[in-house]
Amino acid sequence: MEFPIWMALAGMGVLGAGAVAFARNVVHCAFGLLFALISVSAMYAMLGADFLAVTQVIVYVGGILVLVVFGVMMTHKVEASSLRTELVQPFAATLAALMVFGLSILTVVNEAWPLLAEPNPAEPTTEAIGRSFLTDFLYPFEFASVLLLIAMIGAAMLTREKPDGGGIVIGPEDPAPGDERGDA
Amino acid sequence: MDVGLSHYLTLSAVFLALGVFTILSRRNAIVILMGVELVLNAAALNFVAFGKYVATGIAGQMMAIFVIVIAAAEAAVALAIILSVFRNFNTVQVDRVDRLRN
Amino acid sequence: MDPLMTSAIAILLLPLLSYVLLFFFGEKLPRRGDWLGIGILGVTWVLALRIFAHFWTHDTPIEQSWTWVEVGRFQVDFGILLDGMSAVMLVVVTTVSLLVHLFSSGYMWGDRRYSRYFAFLGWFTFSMLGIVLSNSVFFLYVFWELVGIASYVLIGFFFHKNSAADANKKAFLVNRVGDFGFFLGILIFFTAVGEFQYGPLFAGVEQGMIGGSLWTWAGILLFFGCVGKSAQVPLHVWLPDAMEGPTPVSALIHAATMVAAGVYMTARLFPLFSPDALLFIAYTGAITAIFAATIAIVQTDIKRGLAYSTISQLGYMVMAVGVGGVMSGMFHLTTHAFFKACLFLASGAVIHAMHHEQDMRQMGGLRHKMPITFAAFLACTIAISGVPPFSGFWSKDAILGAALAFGMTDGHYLPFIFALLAAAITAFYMFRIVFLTFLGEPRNQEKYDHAHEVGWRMATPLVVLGTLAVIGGGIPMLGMGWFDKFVQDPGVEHGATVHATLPAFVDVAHAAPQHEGDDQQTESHGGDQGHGTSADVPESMHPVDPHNVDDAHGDAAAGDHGGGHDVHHTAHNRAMIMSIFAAGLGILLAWLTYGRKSISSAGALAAFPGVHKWLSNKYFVDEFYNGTLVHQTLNATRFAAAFDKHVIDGIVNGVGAAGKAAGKLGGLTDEWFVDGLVNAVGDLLRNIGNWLSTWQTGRVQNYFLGLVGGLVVLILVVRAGWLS
Repeated sequence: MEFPIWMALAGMGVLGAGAVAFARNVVHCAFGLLFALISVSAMYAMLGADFLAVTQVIVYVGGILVLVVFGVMMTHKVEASSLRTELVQPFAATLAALMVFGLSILTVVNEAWPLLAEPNPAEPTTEAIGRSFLTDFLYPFEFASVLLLIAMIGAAMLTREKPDGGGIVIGPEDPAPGDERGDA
Repeated sequence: MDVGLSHYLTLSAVFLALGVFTILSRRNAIVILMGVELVLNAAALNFVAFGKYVATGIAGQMMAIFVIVIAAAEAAVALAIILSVFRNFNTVQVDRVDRLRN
Repeated sequence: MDPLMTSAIAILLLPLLSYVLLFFFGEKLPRRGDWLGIGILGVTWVLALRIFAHFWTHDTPIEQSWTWVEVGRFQVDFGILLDGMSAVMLVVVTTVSLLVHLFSSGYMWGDRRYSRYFAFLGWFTFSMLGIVLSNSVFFLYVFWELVGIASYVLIGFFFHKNSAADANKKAFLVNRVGDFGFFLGILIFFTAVGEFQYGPLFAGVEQGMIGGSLWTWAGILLFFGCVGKSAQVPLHVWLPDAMEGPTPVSALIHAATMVAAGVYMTARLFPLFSPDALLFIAYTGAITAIFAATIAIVQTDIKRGLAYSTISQLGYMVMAVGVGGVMSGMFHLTTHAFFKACLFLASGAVIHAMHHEQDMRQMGGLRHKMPITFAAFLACTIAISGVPPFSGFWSKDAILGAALAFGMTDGHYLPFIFALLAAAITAFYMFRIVFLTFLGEPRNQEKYDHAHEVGWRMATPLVVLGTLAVIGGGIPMLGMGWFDKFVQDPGVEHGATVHATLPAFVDVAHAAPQHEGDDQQTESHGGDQGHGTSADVPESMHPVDPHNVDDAHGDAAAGDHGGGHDVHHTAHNRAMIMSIFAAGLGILLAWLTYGRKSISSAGALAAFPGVHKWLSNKYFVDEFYNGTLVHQTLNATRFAAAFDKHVIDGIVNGVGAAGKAAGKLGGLTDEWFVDGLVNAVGDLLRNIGNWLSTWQTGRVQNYFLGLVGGLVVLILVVRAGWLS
């Protein structure tokens, strides 16, 4: 029973990723990403990472994806509901993607992975993760906190509005020299 | 058929390839950001898969958690930048933002 | 270090200090520093007297050397030798120098370069003392040259006068000729013996390390230095012209000391001369003596007259050394220094009084106006004429005695004859000067009226030197023969037989050198020595090295004195009589001609016009040199100049033109070829750059593509096995 479920979930994820890659409508891309993320969350669950699966949904889907959609909406041009999404450098991109895919598959297939005799049993992981945060992964935990703080501050600074609206404000209130509005 | 390590790795490879393609070929900056998220997810999935089938301990899942944390920070900053670019250039088409050309 | 050696070093260096201080600071001092020069010389003089006093009673030389250059086996040491001879010379040089310093403070007062003058006097004194104190021929030569510089500078002191500028060049060049020979001689001796210092050098020569005609010629070459410096014929020509210098300079350098350096050198280096070389020396001296004396007769310039007199007297001294009378030669050097310096200073006083008139035909009757000067001059004239008991008599007498003894034992009478004639002529022309200058009636009334006696600065040296001229030979009542305490003739030991009135003489019959080894021989062959044959004399005349003298020889010498001494005694007595006679004859003739005017000088002139022409033109020696050497040198110079201008410069210009052409060619090559290359490279790079810049699309996605591509390549490279 496991395998078909897995295939279905995996297929959902692949289709979603495909939508991200090929959909013309940006909003379609966003939704595709939604399905891909949920698929990954399901994968986590099937791998026994219960806490992680939930975290994935909450943070990634509920946080990041929402933020992305915000971004889509905010940069949406009025006149173009169908945002032009012709591809840039399609051949090179295809080739590169295929090369990457090919190499990865080759690695997967050819490498003798040192598999455990029995895969790790599925156990509740929350306590272990919590414990680990405060022992083995204490430093990364703290640094991650600092990183989030910095990102927050940085993002806030970057998007500060000048008094008359528009323009990046970094440092004193002087406008940066050069164009305020790019060639649109 | 039992689901084994290679299945997850293959799935991860697919996400990776599609994510790379997205980054390389799409115009819209937001879409490119989505592609980046795909790639990150692929990596995290890899970590967890190895955590189950190859490694002992909780390290794989920890890595995945940190990937999520980083991705969140990065998405926030990236969107901030995209917004600023949008304000200045009035576009999010990355092929239009080429002031550093030549 | 021996305190006397310390004094010697001080004596050497103090005048140098005087030079340095006066040269740099003289003008800033009160009275422009003349007291400094006089003071330093005074100290030097006292130190010299101290050394002199030591050697009055002791006879062991004091010597010390310091290493100066040492390269492998070649070593040159700087050393000082103190013995009787150098002690006497020290006193002579410092006394005359001190007195000249004092005189100059009166005579040269007001000159523009007053301090410089005293500085140069100090320089000269230093160099002259260096000659005296040196203990090696090397440094003798060094100081010899230094003295030459001093002479050059001082003769040309009034360099703005062409005649003075010419004179100092002439002096230097003529001296150079002599010095060239001198240096060759030194080198030959060094090559043969390998020594520069006197002691080892003499010993080497004694052992016969150099022999035969080489020895003779080396000695003659050495003697050339003396010929130049002491103005012997034929290199005498510079001395009369050197009178262009200030008169005190003439007194110090060209009468008393520097010109005497040649005599000193010949006496010092006596062991280096073979008997044949000594014969050459004797003849040179004798010829010079009479040659110069004859020219002196017709001189009208008082300083020129004294200059030729100096040349003549130097000839005397040189001849004395040549015949083996080292003691008499040095003795005459001493007495001559005193009275000749006095004569020159007195003439300086006269010139000064007559407002720089030097022509004796304008003088006359000055004895009334300048009594002190007259007294000094007269005393010195009597001395130089050889009238007893003045100093000059004793020294000249000693020389004549040695010359006659030489003739009697050697068969060469000519030196003696010339010397005797010269003695008569000397008396004649010196008294002529006295008569013309001081006696009779003034011929230029105006100058006569302005004449006045000199001040104490100039009078004091005159008095001192005049007194020395009188008593310098010794005072008969108090004991004579002081000089042979200091200098002995070769073959005679120190302190032997001090005759009541005679200095001891060369023991010509002494067949063997005074060495320890030979002493046994001497004693055993005591009988043989008595017959020292005349034929043996030249070979046997080995000097007694003052270093070797000790009383062990006393017996041997005393035993021989019996035989040889008689010859000398006879010779000496005869010579004494003849010299007194000659002097008297000369004085008489002078008095008759210029005093009583019984003999008319004009008449003599008319009677022997040819003779007069020859004499007054100095036998045309200068003209001869001018026509041959000078002229040919100038011709060679002109040829060389033309060659240089046309040939050498032509070549140089040609090379320059060729270089220019090559440069042009290079420039063209550079333009076309090299620049072409460079430009091509530049263009290539520009094109590459342009092409590369097209990669800068400014689009991030393109860059990311590159990144991915690179990653793929990397993986492929690392995992190359998959491809195969």
